[in-house]
Amino acid sequence: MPRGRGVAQAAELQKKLNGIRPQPSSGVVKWRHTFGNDWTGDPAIFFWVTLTDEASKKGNLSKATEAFRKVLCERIDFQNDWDLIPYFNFRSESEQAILNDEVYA
Amino acid sequence: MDLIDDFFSHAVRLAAPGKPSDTEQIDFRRAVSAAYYAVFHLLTMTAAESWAVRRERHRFARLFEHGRLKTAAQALPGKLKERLGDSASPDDQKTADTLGAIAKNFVALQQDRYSADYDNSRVWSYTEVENVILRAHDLYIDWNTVQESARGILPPRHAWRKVISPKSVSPYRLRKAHCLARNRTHFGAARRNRHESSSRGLCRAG
Repeated sequence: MPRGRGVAQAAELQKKLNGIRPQPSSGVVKWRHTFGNDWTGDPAIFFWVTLTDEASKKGNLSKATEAFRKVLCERIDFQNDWDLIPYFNFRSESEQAILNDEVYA
Repeated sequence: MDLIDDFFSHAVRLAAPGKPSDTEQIDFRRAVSAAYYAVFHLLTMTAAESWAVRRERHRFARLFEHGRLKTAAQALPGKLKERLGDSASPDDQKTADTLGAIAKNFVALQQDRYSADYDNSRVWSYTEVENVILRAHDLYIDWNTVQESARGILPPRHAWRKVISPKSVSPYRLRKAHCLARNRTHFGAARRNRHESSSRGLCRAG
C-alpha cells in the first residue's frame, strides 16, 4: 500500500494544518482529517468538515465548501508537496448532532 | 445528451430533502452514483463524438476506464502547465484553470461514487449528497463553458489512447478486431466442419 510523504511525515503536515486552524473559512464549525487510501490505493487525506446549518443551506453550500477547499489547497499543496490527494466531505451541524459520526466528531 | 440530463435529474430526485425514511440511505447512495455517472458519460460521450466512425461511438465511449481516467485527470494540470509554459495568454490560462477544476471535481466524484457503492459502513447525510451533486453540476457547467476553447490547449486527440482500454484504440484496430472475431467464428466453424468430416472419414475408414 503506497504511503504519501504526508503520512510518513504526519507531524510536519500537522504543523502546517495547525497554522490554518481553527476556522479556515466562514461557516465552518469544526474540521478534522484522516489519512487513508482512495479507491485506487493512492495515499489520500480526507477532510471531514462540519458546517453551520446556515452555511449548509442549498443556496450557501457551494460557496462555503468552495471557500474551505480553496483556503486549504492554496495554503498546502497536498499533491505535489505531500503526495496526498485531498478529499473533502461536508455535513451540517444538525445532521452531525443526529448521526453522531465519529469521523466528524 | 439526454442520458446525462436523466442521470442528473435522477440524482436530484433521489436526494430530495425530507423526513428520514427507510430508503433514505439507499436513495442517497444511488444519488451519488448517478451524479458521478452523469459526468463520466458526459466526458466519455464527448470524447466519442470525435470518433470518425459514427456507428462505433457508443462502443468507443465504453472503452474508457475509471482508473485510467483518474490518472489522466490527476496528470492534466501538470501537462497543461508544461504545454502552456509561462507565457500563456490570459484566455488560455483561464481555460487551463477551468480544466484543472474539472479534473479535481472528477477525481473527487469518483471517490464519492466508490464510497457510495462499496463502503457499507458509511452513513450519508443530505448535505454530503447535495455537495456531490453540486460538484457534478459545476463540472457540467465548466465543461460546457470551456469545451471549445479547451480544444486548443488540450493534449492531441491520440492522447485519449492513454485513458481507454489498450486494445481497439484506432478505427483500423477496431475493424481488425471485428474481422478477427468474424473470422474466428468462420474459421472455428470451418475447423469444426473439417474435424467432423475427418472424424466421419476416420469412422468410414475404420
